Amino acid sequence: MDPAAADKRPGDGDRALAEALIAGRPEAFEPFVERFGPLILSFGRRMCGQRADAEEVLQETLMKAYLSLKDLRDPGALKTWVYRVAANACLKMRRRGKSEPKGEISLEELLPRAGEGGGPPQIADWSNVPLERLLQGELKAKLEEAILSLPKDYRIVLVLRDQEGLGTRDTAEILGISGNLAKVRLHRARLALRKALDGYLS
Amino acid sequence: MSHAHSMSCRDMAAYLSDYLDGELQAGLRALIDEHRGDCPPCEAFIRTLARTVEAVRAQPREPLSSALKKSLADSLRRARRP
Ligand SMILES: [Zn+2]
Repeated sequence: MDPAAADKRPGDGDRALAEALIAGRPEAFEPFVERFGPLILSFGRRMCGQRADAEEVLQETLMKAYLSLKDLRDPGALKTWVYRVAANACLKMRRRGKSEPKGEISLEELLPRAGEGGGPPQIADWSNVPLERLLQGELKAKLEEAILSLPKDYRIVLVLRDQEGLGTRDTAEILGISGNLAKVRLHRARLALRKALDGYLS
Repeated sequence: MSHAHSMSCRDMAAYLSDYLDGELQAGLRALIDEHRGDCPPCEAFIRTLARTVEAVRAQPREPLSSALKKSLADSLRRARRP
């Protein structure tokens, strides 16, 4: 299913919300925070790793998005507008006490290699590991660590697509890249995470 | 040759995210469906990749306290242009 399809209806609410904010109606602030606070806080946490950084991203994003709202041409596009501000805030922020992983993800290392003597690759099938197990304890930590180890350009695409549930087109627009590049980065990010879990589960 | 239109494991790997997202054209989709049925390593690779994506998608959101919500709304109100 195209995640963008699910966004169609909130778009109408967003239009009214954007218009109320642009008109300077003070009663629009609570719904604005209610709508985007949880989204951007999670986005910030997933991008930066630390709660304190995520709160900083959230504060900066809501304020900047609000103050620049007069430049928003299509009030129905409020959501991508807010995410674009958040993406910029995240991309310029250095993660607290961590050096940022750099560079590109090479496909070669992520694909199955031929087995011993050139035979077919050996791939463990751990796909029946329960989702609950992947979402708590050691495995949860492993997955979070793997996500934070992705180069930022890849991590941000993965977070927008698979965690924030945005479509390829919105993601590409938010980041100012082509849809094709967004797809390539998403795929490599997912492959890198699969490999990280594989090292642990197989 | 029965495999004249088949796809190699390596070639196929590039399409797997589109495949899992249902964004692949029908012809390529059919080739992958056929390939994974005959190739246990690729079948395992696809299944574990799908599980990985499910786990990423299922990560819970951060809780946002009402105190923080209130303070955010207050600072926006203070910044309101006259
Ligand atoms: Zn294969």
